[in-house]
Amino acid sequence: MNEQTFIRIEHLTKAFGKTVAADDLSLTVDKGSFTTLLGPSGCGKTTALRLIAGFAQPDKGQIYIGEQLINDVPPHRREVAMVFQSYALFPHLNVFNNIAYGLKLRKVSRSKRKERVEEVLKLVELQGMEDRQISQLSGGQQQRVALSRALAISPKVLLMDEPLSNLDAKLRVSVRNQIRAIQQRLGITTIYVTHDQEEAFSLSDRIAIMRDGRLQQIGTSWEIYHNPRNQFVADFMGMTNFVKAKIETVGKESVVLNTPGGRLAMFREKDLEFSIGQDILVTIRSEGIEVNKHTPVSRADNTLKGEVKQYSYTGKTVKYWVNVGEGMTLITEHPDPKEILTGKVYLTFDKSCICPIPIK
Amino acid sequence: MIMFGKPGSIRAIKHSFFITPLSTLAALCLGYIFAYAQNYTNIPGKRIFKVLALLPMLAPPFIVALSWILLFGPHGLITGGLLGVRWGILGWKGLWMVQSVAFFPYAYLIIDGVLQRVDSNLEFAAKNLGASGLHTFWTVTLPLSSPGLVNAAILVAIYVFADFGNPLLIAGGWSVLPTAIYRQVIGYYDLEGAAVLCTLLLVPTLILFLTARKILGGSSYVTVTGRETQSEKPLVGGITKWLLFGFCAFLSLLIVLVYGSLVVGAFTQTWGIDWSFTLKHWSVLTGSSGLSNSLLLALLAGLGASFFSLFACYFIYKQKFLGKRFWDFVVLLPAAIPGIFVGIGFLLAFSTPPFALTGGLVIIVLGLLVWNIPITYQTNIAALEQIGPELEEAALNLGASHVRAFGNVIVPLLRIPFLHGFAMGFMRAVTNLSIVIFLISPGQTTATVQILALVRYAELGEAAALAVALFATAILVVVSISFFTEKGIVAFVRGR
Repeated sequence: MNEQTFIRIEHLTKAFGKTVAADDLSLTVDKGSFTTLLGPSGCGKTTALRLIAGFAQPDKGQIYIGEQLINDVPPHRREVAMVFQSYALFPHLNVFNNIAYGLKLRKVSRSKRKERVEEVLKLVELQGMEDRQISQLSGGQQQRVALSRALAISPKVLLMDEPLSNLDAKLRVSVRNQIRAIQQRLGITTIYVTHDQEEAFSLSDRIAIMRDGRLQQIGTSWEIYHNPRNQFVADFMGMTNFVKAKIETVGKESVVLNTPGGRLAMFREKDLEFSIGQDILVTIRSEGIEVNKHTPVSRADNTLKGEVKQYSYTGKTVKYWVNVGEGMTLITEHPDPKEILTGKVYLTFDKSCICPIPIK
Repeated sequence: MIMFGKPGSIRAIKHSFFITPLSTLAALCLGYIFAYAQNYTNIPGKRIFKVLALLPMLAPPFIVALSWILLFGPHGLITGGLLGVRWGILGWKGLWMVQSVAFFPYAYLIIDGVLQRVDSNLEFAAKNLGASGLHTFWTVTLPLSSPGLVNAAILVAIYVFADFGNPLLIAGGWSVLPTAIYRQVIGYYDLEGAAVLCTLLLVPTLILFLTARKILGGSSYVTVTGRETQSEKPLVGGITKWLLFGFCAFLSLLIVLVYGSLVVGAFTQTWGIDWSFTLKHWSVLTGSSGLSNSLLLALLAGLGASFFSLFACYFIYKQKFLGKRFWDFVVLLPAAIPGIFVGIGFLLAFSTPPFALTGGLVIIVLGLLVWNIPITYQTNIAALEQIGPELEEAALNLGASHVRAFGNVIVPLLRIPFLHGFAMGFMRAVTNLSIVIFLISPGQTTATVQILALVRYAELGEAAALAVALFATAILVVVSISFFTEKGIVAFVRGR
C-alpha cells in the first residue's frame, strides 16, 4: 500500500444462496489508474463491481474509497459512476436529459448543465446529438452516451461492466481506444470488467484475474503473461502447452528439466525454489518454439525431435500440433510459412519462453 | 327517444360517469402500491399477500358488495357492532369502496407484470447517478410503467363502468347505467328502451377497448438497449418498506374480512343479532337447483367456448395476411361488450321465432359461451404464436396431413392454454350475473341470481351460504385444473 492507493478492497465476501460470488477478495487500486477485473463468466467480477457500486451488500469485508469506509454509504451517495453492459439509458429521455440526469440531481444550474453536457458529448465525439431519442442511436453511439452520462457528474471512480461486449469486433477496437484515451486525459480512477483477454491487455495498467470469486493473480499485463502464477491464469492467457517435467539439474542461471520428449533448459526464476528430482509443471509459450525440418546448428541444446500430428493453415500462419514424447504434444505457429512441414520435425525452444507454474 | 325524457336515465348516466373514474383511480392506486410492494421490497408475507390479492377474482364481483353489507351495512359488524352506529356505508360512497376492492386485483395483475418488465438496470443507473429511492421512482419507475398503467386503467374502467351486481346490492336508489337498464327490463318490461341504454353503455366501453388495443400496439417502454436484464431490483428499505408492509397487511386483512364474514355469515343464526352457530342456512343448497344449474351451464359454456376458440384460433392463425387482423378483431370484440349487453342482446335476438330460444337453458349457455370466446381465444392464440408455424410444417414434411398435424402436434402443445382458457371461462360463467339474470325464465335459476334474490329478501345467512358454496366450488375447479398443468395456482390464475 502506498500514497497512491485510492481504492482498497479487503476480504470481500458475497454469496447468493449456495453460490459464492466473491470469496475473500482483497486488492488495491491506485489513483488515476486503469484496473481490469478479468475472468470467465461467473467468476464474480461483475459482483465485485456491483458491490463497489453499492447495489448489493457484502456478507463480509470492507471497501474503502479515499480513506473512507463506504460499506454503509447508500448507492446514490457513493460517487462511483457506472457504465452498464446494457448501457441502461433511460428510454423515455433524450440524449441531453440522460446525460443531465445526474447534474440535475446535484442542482447544477441550467446553463452550467448545458455547458457540461456539451463538454462530455464533445469528449466522446457525439456533439450535436443532444436532441436524439435513445432508440435512434446505434449501439456504438449508445455506448458513448452511457459513458458521457457517467463522466458528466465527475465521479471519483468510474466503473465499467463489459461495456464493449454488445458491439461488433471492429467497433470494439476503436471504442476501446477512445475509452483509454479519455481515461488517461481525465486521469479518472477506473475499474473495468471484461472476459476478453486482449481487451484487458490493451486497456489496463493492472489486471486482476478472477475465478470462482477468488483472485488468481494481479499485476501488469507483462507480468501476468510472462509469469502466470497457476495453470488457470496461463490457460486464460491463451497458453496451450503445459508439460509435466522433473528437475534434473539446478544451475545458477538455468534449470534443466527432464520432459517426456527430452531435456529442456529454462531460466531460473529468482523467487522460486527448485530442488533436484522435484516434479514441476511448466508452460511453453508457442511463440518461443521454432519448427524446422532439420536440426538447427546453433541452439542444438534446446531442441527436441518430434512428429507433426496435425496442422492448420490459415494463410497468415500455419499452426502445428507436434508430438515430441509420451503424452507431450506441443502447439506452435509459424507465421508467413514458405512451406508446410509434415512428418519428422525438430522443435527448438527459446529458454525465456519456458515458464514454471507453481503448483499450489 | 322517450328514454331521455325520463330524468332517471339521465341521472343514471351521470352517476356512471361520476363513479367510474373514481373507482378506477382508487383501484389503480391500490393495485400499484400492492404491486410495488411485491416487486421492490422484501417484506415478510409476500406470498400470502399475493394469493389474497387475487382472491376477489375468483368470486362473483358482487360478493364484495354482499360482504360489505354484512360488515358496514345497517346491522354491519363494523358499523353496528363495533362502532355502534345506526347507519351503514351504502350509496355511492359504499359503491366506491366496494368497487375499489373488487377490481383492484385486475389492476394489480397488470401492473405487477409491467413492473417486472421494467429494466432494473435503469433504476440502478438512476441510483448510481445520485437519485434517492423516491426520486428514482418518480423519474424512472413511474414513467416507464405508465403504458402498462394506462392499460390497467382502461381494463378496470371497463369493468367498473359495466359493473352490475355491486351497484344493485349497494347503491340501491343511486342508480348507474347498468342498474337503470336492469330496471327498464325487469321493472318496466321495456326491452327497446333498455336496448337504447345498452348502446349508451356500449359506446364508451368500445372506445376504451379500442384505445387499449391501439396503445398495446404502440409505445411500450421495453428495454431499448443491449442484453438480458438483471432479475433483481433495487429494494426499498427503512420506514417506506414498513409503510408498504402495513398497507399490504391492511388491504389483505380487509379481503380476509370480506370473505371471512361470508363464511361466518353462512353459519350464523341471524347476522348482527343472534351469533349462535347454525347449519340451517345450508338447506338452501338442497332446496333449489341453483348451484347445480350454475355448474352445468358453466361447464357447457366453458367447454363450448374453448373448443370453438381452438378451431377459430387455428383457422385465423393460418390466414396469415388477408383477413387475419379482421377476424382477430371480430373474435376479440365480445371482450369489449359488457355482459349486460350480451344478455340483452341475446334476449332481443332470440325472443321471437324463428329463433325463439328463450325459456330454455340453451340460450344461457350460448350467451355465456359467446361472452367467453375472447378469453379462451386469447390464451390459445398467444400459445399458437409461441409455437410458430415450423412445427406444423415439420409434421407436414414428414408426411402428416393437415388434420393429422393439427391433432398430433398442435393440440398436445395447446393442452395447457386450452385448460387455462377453460378454467377462466368456467369461472367467469359460474360467477356471472349480468348475462344470466336476463336470460333465465321462471322456474329456473342459477346460484348468482339466487344469491341476489336472497339478499333482496334479507335472507343474508342463506345468501352467504350459497355464496360460500359457489366460491368454494370455483376454487376447487381451478385448483384441480391447475394440478393438471403442474404450475402453482397463482401462476395459473395469472395466465402463465
